[in-house]
Amino acid sequence: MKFASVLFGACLLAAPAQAAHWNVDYAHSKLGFTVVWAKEPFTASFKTWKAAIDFDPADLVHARADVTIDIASEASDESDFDSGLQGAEGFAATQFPTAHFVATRFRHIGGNRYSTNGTLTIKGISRPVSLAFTLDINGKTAHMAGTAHVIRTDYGIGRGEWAAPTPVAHDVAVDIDLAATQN
Amino acid sequence: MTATTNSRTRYGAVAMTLHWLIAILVIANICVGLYFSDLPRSDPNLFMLVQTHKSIGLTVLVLSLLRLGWRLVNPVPPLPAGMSAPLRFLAHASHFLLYFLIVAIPLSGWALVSSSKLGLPTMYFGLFQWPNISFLSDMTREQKGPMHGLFDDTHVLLAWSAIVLVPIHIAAALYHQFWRRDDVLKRMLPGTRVAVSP
Repeated sequence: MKFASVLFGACLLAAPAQAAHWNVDYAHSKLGFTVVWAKEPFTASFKTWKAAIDFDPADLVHARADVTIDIASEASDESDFDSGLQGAEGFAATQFPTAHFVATRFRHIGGNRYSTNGTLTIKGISRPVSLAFTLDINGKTAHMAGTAHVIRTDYGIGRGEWAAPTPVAHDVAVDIDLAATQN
Repeated sequence: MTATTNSRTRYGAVAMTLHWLIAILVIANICVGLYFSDLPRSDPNLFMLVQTHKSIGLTVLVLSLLRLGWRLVNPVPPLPAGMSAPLRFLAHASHFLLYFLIVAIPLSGWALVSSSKLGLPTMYFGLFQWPNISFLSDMTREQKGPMHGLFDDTHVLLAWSAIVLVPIHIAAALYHQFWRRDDVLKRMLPGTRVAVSP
C-alpha cells in the first residue's frame, strides 16, 4: 500500500509536460481591453492571437503561458478609434505588429483563484504585469478569466496629443476570457 | 488719418480693422480646412493643422461677435445713392449672409468638435484649453455620433457657402469701385479719400 502510493507520487512527478498542455478554443475565447475614453468605457478586442499554455494546478512550478497578439486585429464598434489606435501615436501596428505576454510564475490564491507575474511586451517595451484570474477545470475542459491592469503610457501608447490622461485614461484593463481543452 | 468710428461716407478704424482681420483669417482658415480635410489620419501634421484651424476659427468667432456689437452701436455708412432696388436688396442680403456665416461657421465648428467621440481638447494656439460646449461633450458616445455628423455636414455646407459668397463680395466691391465708381471699396481702405456722395 505504502509502496503503491510512493510509486503513484513518482509517476505524478515524472508526468510529461504534455499532460499539462491546453489547447485554446479561440472561438469561445476573448482577449480585449477596456479604457475610459471621454468619460465613457471603450472596449476593443483582438481577433487574432495565439496562446501556448501549460498548466497543471498540482504543478504550478512548471506552469507556463505564452501569448502572442496580432495588434492589427484590434477591433471595436468605433472604426475611427481603431484606425487611430493602430496609428503611429497608438500601437504603431505596422512597426510593431505583435504584442507578447509570457508568464512562468504562478501562484494559487485560494479556491479557483490564481495569479501570475508575467512580462508584457508592446511596441518593443517590456514591463512586468500581474494577472489575477479564476480557473475552473472540468475534466478535459477549462475556463479561465482574468484582468490585468496596465498603464498605457509605460508602453508609449498615446503620444503627442494623446499622452494626457484625458480624454483617454492611462489605466487600461486587459481582459482575457479563455476556454481550453486537453487531449 | 482714419477716424475710429464710422461716418456717413466711410468705415472707421475699428470696423476696418475687424473687417480685414476677419477677411484674412476666414480665407486662411478655408485654405487650411480644405487642405487637411483630404489628409489621411496618419499624417503627422494633421493634429497641428486641426488645432491651428480651430484656433483661427475661434478667433474669427470672437472678432465677429465684436464686429456685430460694434455695428450695433456704430451704424455703418448707407449704401451709395443711385443703386436700383434689386441691387440694394442683393447688397443687403449678401452682407447679412456674410455676417451670418462668420458667426455660424466657427460656431458649427465648435459644435462639431464638442460632439466628437474622440474628445480631444482644443488648445487655443497652444496657450490654453478652449472649453467644449458642455451639453454636447457630456453626451454619450452613442448620442454624439449623429450629432457630430450633423454639425460636420453643417460646417462644410456653410464653409462652401462662404467659398461662393466671398468671391461675389470681392467682385461686387470691385464692380462698385471701378465700374460704378462710387468709392465703395475705398470706404473700407485705410488712408484713402472718399468723395462725398450726394
